[in-house]
Amino acid sequence: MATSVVSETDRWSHLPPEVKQELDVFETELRRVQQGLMPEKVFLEFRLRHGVYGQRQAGTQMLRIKIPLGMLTTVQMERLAELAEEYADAVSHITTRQDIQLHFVDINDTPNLMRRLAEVGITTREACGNVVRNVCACPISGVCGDEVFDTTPYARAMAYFLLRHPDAQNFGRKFKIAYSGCEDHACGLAIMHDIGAIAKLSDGRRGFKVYAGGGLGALPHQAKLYSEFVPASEMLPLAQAIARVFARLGEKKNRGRARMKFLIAQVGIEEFRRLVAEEREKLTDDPLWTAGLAEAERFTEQPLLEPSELDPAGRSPEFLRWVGLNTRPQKQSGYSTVTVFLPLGDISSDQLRGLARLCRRFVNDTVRTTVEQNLVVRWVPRGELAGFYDGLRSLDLAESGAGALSDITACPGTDSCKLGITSSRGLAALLHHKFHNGLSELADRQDLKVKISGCFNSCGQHHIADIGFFGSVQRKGGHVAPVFQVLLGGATQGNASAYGLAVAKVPAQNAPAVIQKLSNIYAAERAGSESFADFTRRLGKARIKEELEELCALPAYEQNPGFYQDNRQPWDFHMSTGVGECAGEVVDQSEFMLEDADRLVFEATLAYDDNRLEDAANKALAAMTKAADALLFQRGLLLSDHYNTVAEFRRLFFDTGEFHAQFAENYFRAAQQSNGEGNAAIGEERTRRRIEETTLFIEMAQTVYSRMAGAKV
Amino acid sequence: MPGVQRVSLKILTDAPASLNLDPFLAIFGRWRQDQNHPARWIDLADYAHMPRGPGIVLIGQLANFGFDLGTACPGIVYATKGGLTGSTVDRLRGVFRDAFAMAARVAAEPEFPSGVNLRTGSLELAFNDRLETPNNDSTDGELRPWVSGVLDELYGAGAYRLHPEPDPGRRYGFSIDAEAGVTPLVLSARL
Repeated sequence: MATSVVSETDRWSHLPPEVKQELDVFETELRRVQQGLMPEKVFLEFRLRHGVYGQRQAGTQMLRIKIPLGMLTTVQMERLAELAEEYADAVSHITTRQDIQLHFVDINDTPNLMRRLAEVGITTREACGNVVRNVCACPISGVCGDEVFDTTPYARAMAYFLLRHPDAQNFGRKFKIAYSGCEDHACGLAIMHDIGAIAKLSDGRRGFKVYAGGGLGALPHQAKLYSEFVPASEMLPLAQAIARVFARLGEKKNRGRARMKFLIAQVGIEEFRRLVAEEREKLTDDPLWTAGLAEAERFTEQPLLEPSELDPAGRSPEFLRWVGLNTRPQKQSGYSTVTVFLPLGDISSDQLRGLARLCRRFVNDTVRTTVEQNLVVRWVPRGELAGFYDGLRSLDLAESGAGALSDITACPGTDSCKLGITSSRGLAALLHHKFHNGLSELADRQDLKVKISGCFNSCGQHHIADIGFFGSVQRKGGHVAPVFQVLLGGATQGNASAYGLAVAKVPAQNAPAVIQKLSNIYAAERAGSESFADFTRRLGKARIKEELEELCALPAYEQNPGFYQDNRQPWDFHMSTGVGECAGEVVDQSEFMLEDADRLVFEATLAYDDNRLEDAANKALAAMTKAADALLFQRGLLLSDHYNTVAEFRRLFFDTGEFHAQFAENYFRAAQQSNGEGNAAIGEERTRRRIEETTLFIEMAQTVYSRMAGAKV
Repeated sequence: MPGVQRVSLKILTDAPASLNLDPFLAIFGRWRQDQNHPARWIDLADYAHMPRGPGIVLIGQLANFGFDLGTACPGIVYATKGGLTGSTVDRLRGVFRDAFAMAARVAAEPEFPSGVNLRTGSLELAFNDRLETPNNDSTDGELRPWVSGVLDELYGAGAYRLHPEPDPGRRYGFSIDAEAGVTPLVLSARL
């Protein structure tokens, strides 16, 4: 084809070298596992750490794209639109943690997909797997009138500081961080995160009230207050110290108890504080703690257009309804944020491209994804809202109801997730339809939130909804029906301040009726401005169960087979779940390092065959160093401590006789050679010998590692 | 060199943008059971909640097939992702032939919405790979003769008009206006 004259090497030469190398390594490892040269288990966790997640449909992948704080530029939106069109099904899906997911991706397309993302400054690195996931933050940080200060630069600094950080690569499970600008609102959901940071001033100094050990999942925990005030400058070292403690003491074997919330529950918050403080003392100063901060603090967002005010006279009721529900005045006079309501968090490539074009006219690069699976556009002059609305209408993106009852959150469920039991998206789609047809009088209610998960794992955040649903099954007379547990009493407000409890189990077909019934009772019996959570507490579980009784009944299949179909799935339901990849695989950091050593010696061989002798010699030495580091990691040495690998390896493995002396000496000689005359002119024969020595060195390292890992068990 | 693999062909219809897509859940729910289909079906994706989305899509390893509500007007989309072999013109012939054959098949399903007609002379062709076929003069010089060749076979030389996609940010491709009223099966048989 026209561009096929561009070689694969040249095509991506414009990428930053470290990014190019990382993605080349990903492609190499993909080919190695396809050739049976890498263990599947190690590759699974490796690909997860690059955002590649196996769907429930065999042989197809979901790609999770990390969008720190949900911040998107128009160029990035256009690129995402292109990639969804070419490699997925032309839909970009906004997740409940401000990521973007593409579904039905062929794994062979992922290297180039990642490279094209990298061209616009996006990475999928650490979007899945047992690492620090996307750092979330309030999407109206910096423009919200209620915030203490703009958390954007601090959250960004955290996101990029921990990305690829060596201390954050050896967790037993994932690790989530969120920032909020205030205590009260729902935007940041800080209390349900491993680290939740809420902006706070102390004597005029900026800092954060820090919570630790929160999380939803099957067994939700509210975070414990870690500190009333941590200065902003101390946040990155604090996170690093917490990461080290979690990596060292967190559960690794029992996947169901490996999140940090279980560690804190086990040792207690006081002891956890002590452990973290102790670890903090050990850290050597890292210039990134402040460099990242200084760089981040330079971040400013400039409006594209001058401020202006909206004149509502003569405007259509539809427009005014949209203004009431989907826009919010900024603290900067004359500007509003606009929430683009995306049913089920989905936006088509045409819409995303069109929205980017619209943003260029009105705001430029000030778009953010939200945890409610919408997009927020900031800095729209209020006098331009009508024009912006018209632009959204032309893209079919002007639906009212953002933040209202009709704005439902749902995880992917059985559409794509291996753990899904019921169709959370099917229910959400059905409700979306009903809020336009039959339940329209409820659609705009802003005092109720509905969130749906396809199973108990809470990716749809059902615990923090006023009305939460999670999928389950019920067997009757040899047939299996999809059902939903109904949870009441959760609250998104106050950064996810309350978690709901299950009150009833209803057939999936009856879930919409549950919402209608509860909403009607709330409207009729609410006391003043009582919240739904308070209302249900006052009403009591017995009364609520009684009210829902008739909706809980599951008719026999013969009476009504429709109850044995899931929502928007006109075929008989059958339960089919697999092993989810949320928990990833626990792969010891040393295993990753040894795999890396294998890859490097393989690349050394290729370089040797290509007569690139110096490159081959360098790669072989790097492979031995990597293997040595893998063993040193088992002795408690951390890469972030910047130790001398040769010296430490000599002390801990050579002097003690734990490593075959001849193989170790080969390594020392190679390192000495490299430091002395260098590898430029060692010649073909010595290069070849070094590669052979490296192979033996790695084999011996594998043996020693196996012995050490076995001894630890 | 893999050559052209990702080609999308949309056959427009006269369906309203508000068409209820539920019938396609039932149709594609059945179709996906066919494990021998060359597209190697994986599952269906339900995007009926999106007013300008891809509708209901039957996803395959080598091709997707769906009733789509995006761009221009509603229509049937057949989009290949891999598995095309032979010369470029052979591949294009295969895409058009399979798209029309499958369109005929879906239109014959009992649940297919009554009153919806395929406009077999109104097509949207897109080369769905900006790395291999960017929307520029070079690609146009290489691919347009092949496209024209296939359309000559389908509709007859000079019996159609090609409207190239002018926006370089969009995929290389064409809107195609041709003789209406020919059934998809007849068109498929011409290739």
